[in-house]
Amino acid sequence: MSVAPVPNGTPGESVLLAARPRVPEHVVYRTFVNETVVLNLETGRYHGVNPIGGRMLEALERAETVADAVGRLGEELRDVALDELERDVCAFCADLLERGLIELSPNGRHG
Amino acid sequence: MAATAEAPAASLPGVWRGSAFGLEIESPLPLTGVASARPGRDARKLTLRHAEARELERGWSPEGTETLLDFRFPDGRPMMRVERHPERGFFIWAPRHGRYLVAPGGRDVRMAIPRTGSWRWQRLLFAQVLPLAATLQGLETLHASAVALDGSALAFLAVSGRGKTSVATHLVARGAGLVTDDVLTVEPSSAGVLAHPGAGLVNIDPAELERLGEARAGFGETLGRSDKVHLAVPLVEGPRRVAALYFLRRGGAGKGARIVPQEGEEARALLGGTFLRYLRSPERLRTHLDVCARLAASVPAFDLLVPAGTPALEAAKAVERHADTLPTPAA
Repeated sequence: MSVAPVPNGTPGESVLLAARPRVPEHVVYRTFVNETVVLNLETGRYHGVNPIGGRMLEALERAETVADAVGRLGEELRDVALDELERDVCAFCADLLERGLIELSPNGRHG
Repeated sequence: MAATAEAPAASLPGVWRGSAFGLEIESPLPLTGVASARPGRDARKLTLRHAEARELERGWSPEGTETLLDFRFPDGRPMMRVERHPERGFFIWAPRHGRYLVAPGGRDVRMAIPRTGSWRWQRLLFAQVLPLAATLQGLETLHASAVALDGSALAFLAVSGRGKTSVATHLVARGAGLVTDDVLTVEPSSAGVLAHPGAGLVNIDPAELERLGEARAGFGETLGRSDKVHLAVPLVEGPRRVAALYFLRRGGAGKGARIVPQEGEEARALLGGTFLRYLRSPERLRTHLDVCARLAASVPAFDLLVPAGTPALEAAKAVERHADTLPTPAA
C-alpha cells in the first residue's frame, strides 16, 4: 500500500478516490448465493461481504481508479445518490485495506 | 512422539490395487471394502509401502515438526496425533492403529501397521491417511457420509455425533448404495461435482445397528467393535454426481424430520464442512474455496432438521421422499 496515509492512518476520501485499486495475488474471492467470500491466502482468514460489497469488490478490481469504480457502480445502482455511493465505496476500501484484502497505488499507478 | 514398539503385520507377496477417495492405490495388503482398481480410471496414484515402526520413528525427529492434531481420551491418554514437517511430510499415529508417513505430495505412504485386527489400522488409514493423501493431490474432502439413489449421490454433512452414519445406513438398508461413511471426496467436473466412493468400513452405533432389524442381514460382516460396531459394507462402483447436500441439524422443535432449503448460511456451512481443517496451504485453501463455490452454484443444499428423539429411520424416509422432488440433471 503506497498511498500516503492521513494522520489517523486511513487515507482521506479524495486520496482514495484517485488511487488505483488492486486485489493482490494472495487474495481470492468467490461469489455465493447470499454473500461473497474473500480469502486471504497468506493468513488463511475468510471474510464475508454482502452482495453489494461483492459487486463493489468486482468493480474495484476492474477499475483504473476507485472513482472509476464508483462511476460504474453508479450506473448499476441508479437509486443510490452518487455522493452516498462514494462514501460507501471509500469506507469499503478502507475496510479492505485494513484487512489486507486490497492494495492501492497513488494516481492510478502501482508501485 | 511417544511410541511403543509395534510388530509389523506379516507381509504378503505381490501388490494389490484398489480405488478409493479418488485415488488409484497400490498396497502390499488388500484393503477392506475398497473396490479393485480399474487401471487408468483414477488419475491420481498412491503407493502404500510397509515400514518398520522404529524406522519411521527414527526418521521423524521433533525438530522442525508442527503438531496439527493431538486428540486425547478424557483421562489424557493419546488417541491420535498428526504432525507435519515441511520436507518429510505428515506423520499420523494412533495407539494400536499404526503409524503412517505421508509424503508431502500425497503420492506415497509408508506404514507400520500392528498385528491387531486389520480393521484397526484400516480405520485410521480410511479416516485420516487416504483423505489426507487425496487432499494433498488436489481433491477436496468433506465431513460427510453419502449414498447413491437413482444413480446420483446425496451427501449428509455434519460434525461427528450428529447421525450422518445412522441416516446413511438406514437409506442403504432401504435399497440405496453406499458411497462413503464420514469422509466424502469430491471433485468438480464437466458433469457436475462428483462424489468418489470412499471405503466400505462403516462405524455405526450399536443401538442403531439393532434398529436395522432384519435389514442388518443385508450388510457385510462385523469386522470389530470399539465404542462403535465396524462393518464391511459394499460400496457403489465409480464416482456419482452430487445431486443434493443435506446439512444435518439435531434438535429443534416439532415432530418428525423436516427438510428445508439452506438459505443465507450456505457459504459458511460449506466452508465449515471441510474434513481436513489442519491443511491450510494456499493451494489447498484456494481449491477448498473453489470447490465450495462450485457446490453452492450447482448443487441444491438443504437443512435436514431432526428433533431430539426422532429415529434415524424417519430422517432416512424424509430424505427418500425429498429426493423424489430433486431436479433431474440435464442430459
